[in-house]
Amino acid sequence: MECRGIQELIVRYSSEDIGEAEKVIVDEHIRDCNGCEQYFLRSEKLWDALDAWDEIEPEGEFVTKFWNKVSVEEDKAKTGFFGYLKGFKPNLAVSGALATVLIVGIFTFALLGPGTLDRAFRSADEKDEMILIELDRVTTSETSELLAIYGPWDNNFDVNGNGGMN
Amino acid sequence: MQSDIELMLRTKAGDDSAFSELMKRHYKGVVNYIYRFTNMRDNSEDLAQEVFFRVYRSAKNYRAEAKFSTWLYKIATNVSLTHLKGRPKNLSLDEIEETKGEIEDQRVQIADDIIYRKEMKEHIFKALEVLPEREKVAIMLCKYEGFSYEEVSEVLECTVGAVKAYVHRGRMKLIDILEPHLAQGGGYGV
Repeated sequence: MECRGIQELIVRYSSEDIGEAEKVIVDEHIRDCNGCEQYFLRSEKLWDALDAWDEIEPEGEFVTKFWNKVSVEEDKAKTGFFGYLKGFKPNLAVSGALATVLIVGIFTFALLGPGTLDRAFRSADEKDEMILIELDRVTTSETSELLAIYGPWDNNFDVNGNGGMN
Repeated sequence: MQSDIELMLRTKAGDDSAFSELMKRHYKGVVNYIYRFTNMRDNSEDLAQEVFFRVYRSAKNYRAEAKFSTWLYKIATNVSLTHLKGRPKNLSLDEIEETKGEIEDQRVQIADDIIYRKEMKEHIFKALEVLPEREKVAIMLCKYEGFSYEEVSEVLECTVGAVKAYVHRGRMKLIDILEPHLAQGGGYGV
């Protein structure tokens, strides 16, 4: 096995994540390979060196401090707008009734609200007016056509009866 | 003695004394894990409090599917990472000065050994900071918390094979980074 492969095994060796057969391969290799032997020693040193980072002893009363923190946080949660929202438990029946009243109210307002009738009448008036205008236009047009048999008319006739009709 | 899961289920049912018992079992480990993760001694207890507070708040939704400690350390990892991301990179220099002061105050006879440990601690922290997060977490949980690869895989939500790869790659990098300091040896038997 090449040195790179052996070095991978060496890392696992230090973590005790290696089988017996692989241990033998590593042992045999480092006996003859100075570079890998050094690497093996450094790997072992590293794992031991990590122990140089001693544990600290936490101050006492950790648990008491924790429950104090919980009390403070719970008090915070109870007060304020967001606290109210968080603690708000909606009643389904009440919510449903409120929603129904709201919907009925919106429809009623839309149907009977101020200006609704005026708008309806104004709209009807406009329609009537359009019909009348159209009727008037058609009537005028028909009348002109009927009268055309007597025309064309010459507006430039004199008062003595000369001119006018061809 | 009740298991962690039993205590957590009691907590879920509203028994706060069960949660106190859980904290007594685990707070020292969590404080030290955060301390090593952040290299900030002063904040580690406050952050550990935050970890347990999150666990307590989540107790209502707790399901005994995973081992309690893996869940706890997953939260501790998240809290530590969040804290580190919001912190200026060179803040730990203050702590270096502080630890030098501690050394002077202690006036111990085996000063070389203590200085070596303090310096080595800083080197280790800096080396671990260079590693990708997953490699760092995997090494810290394996080395300091004694987690198995299976447990680490639950924390990192990955396969056992991936954890082995993280530990392996991380160690290779640590050897390269810490090599000059490993050669010094110090008085600590290394």
